[in-house]
Amino acid sequence: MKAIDFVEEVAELLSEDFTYSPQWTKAELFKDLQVVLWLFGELTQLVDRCGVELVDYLTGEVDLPDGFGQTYLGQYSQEMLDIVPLGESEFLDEDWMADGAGDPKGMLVWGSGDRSKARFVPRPSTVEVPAGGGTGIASLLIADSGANVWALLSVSGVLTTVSSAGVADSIQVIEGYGAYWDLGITTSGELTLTASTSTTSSNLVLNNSVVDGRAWSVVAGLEGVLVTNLSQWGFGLCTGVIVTKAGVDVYQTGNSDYGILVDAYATGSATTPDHVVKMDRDYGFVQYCGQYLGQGTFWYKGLPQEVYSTYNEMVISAGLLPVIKHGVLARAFSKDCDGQDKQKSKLLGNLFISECYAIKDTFGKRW
Amino acid sequence: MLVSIILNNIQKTLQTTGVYRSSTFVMKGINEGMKLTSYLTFYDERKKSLSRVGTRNIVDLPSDGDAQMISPIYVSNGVSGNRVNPVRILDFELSDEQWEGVVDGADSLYYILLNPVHCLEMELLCSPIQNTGTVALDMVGAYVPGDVASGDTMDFPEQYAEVLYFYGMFYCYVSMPGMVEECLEAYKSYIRIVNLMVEDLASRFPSDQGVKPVPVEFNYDTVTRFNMDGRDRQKDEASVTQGA
Repeated sequence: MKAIDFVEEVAELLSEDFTYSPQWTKAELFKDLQVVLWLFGELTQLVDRCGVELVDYLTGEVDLPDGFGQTYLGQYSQEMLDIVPLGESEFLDEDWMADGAGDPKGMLVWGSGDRSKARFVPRPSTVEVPAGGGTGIASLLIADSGANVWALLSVSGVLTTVSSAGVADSIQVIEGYGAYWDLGITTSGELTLTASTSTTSSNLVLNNSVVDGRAWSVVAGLEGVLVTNLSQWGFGLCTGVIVTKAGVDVYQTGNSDYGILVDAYATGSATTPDHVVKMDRDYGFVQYCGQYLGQGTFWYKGLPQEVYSTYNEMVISAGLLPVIKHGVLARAFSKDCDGQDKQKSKLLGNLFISECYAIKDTFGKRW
Repeated sequence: MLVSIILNNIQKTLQTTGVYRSSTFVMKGINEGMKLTSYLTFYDERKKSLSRVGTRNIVDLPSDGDAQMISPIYVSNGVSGNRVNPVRILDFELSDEQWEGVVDGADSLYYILLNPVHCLEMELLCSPIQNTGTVALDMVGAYVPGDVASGDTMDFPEQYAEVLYFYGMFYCYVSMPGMVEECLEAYKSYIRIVNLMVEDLASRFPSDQGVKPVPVEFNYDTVTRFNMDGRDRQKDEASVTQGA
């Protein structure tokens, strides 16, 4: 269900038609929805994510992925490791703070939210950095209407434009949801997508601005919003993959890993796949595990896919939407306006929490 | 039972047939109740098979028309018929400490359900990976059904049909100004039947392993509410006194 449809269903229950002196606006209800989704993720612990990162062999540390809640499983080079409290880290390696090296025996996790870090203790003495990867381009040069040239870069997945010199590259055609868009730029450096006459996409892949083997394929989401999908040295990790033709780079000669490509397939044959993996579902929990030393894998509790605009699809089961609705209504009824109903707000808030806990208990046996 | 019977009962109780809350609106409540109930009780069980070409250890769950599986209840290998057992992800290590990517024989032994938040994200993670050209699994799973129309026959255990009546009532009361008491009573009746269903259906779940629904502990009773009201009153009185 799209977020806008959900908001309108909530509005129907509030008898709010948004037309004349509304007591609740769509924006307010949408904001309530965003907050309730976070709460729902936290209270139910339903959302599992998997992250794969290369371990920095100088420190043994890894930045944990965005939306990280709590790790419940860690692996180093496919081997399961215990997650150890900081206070017990010396049992693993008493000089770990001094960067003792060896074979990782356990994992520490500290920090919170996007600043969370994991550290393998002791830090690995060597890290195999797989060749391959970096199949994209460093930057794309785009000319604006005044013939000024801009360079499009990917800074850790965030698309950035900077004024540049040189000759503009040919116009890139970006694909998304079966539509094709010409990538352009305004004279102030803002990227634009306009409907294209082409029916062939350019498969734009940008390397990270600081060369570290990471690359992002650039695709278009709903409503022509640009989205970047990470690919990284043979292990692509994508959630919310939105198009079937999004390229995810896979380490080209790592064909032995083909068998554990999950929910994705490499084009070509099983024995000689080429380096493009195509997703076979629009959305997905996609895990690709490369068999390299130096790879940390984290299974963690995360958040439901966020909704950034009212036109985003809510990736929530139809059976769970009523629970979310109770949470949103509880917040809406508490708003200080003529439609305020504190009693109903309390009641619905209680139902929301009770339902979330029941769901958490039901699915809690998984981990 | 026809869905229209529940619809009529709700409209008669509310005495709003075609006036205040339309049939379309009430049907939304009934459908919502049916889906929530399916998630809370796993009443809608169906048997499905899936097969995926290639050796892989993560497979998506099969849908059935517009009904989506929310959790497998019993899984077996399509080839051997042997059971694939639900375990915690941490227990995969017991199979092989480097379980990930391990291709071993014809049978997966264990599985875990990942991400039961939406059918598009939900996956079954199996270990070891079946060493066969095609992964084939047979499973009985709990589903969230699609929408029903008022003229449809309900795909629901009839003895529990009242659960939809109470949820439909609750849905309508939420939309009416005031009516908190009625909301509360309707929801309490709804949850009472949901919990009865959870209890009655519990014997369906094999050997108490894996995912199994639990009763909803809804604690918003009148005593709690009275206390909350009291606190609110005290707060209001205090603010008036301070203001004076």
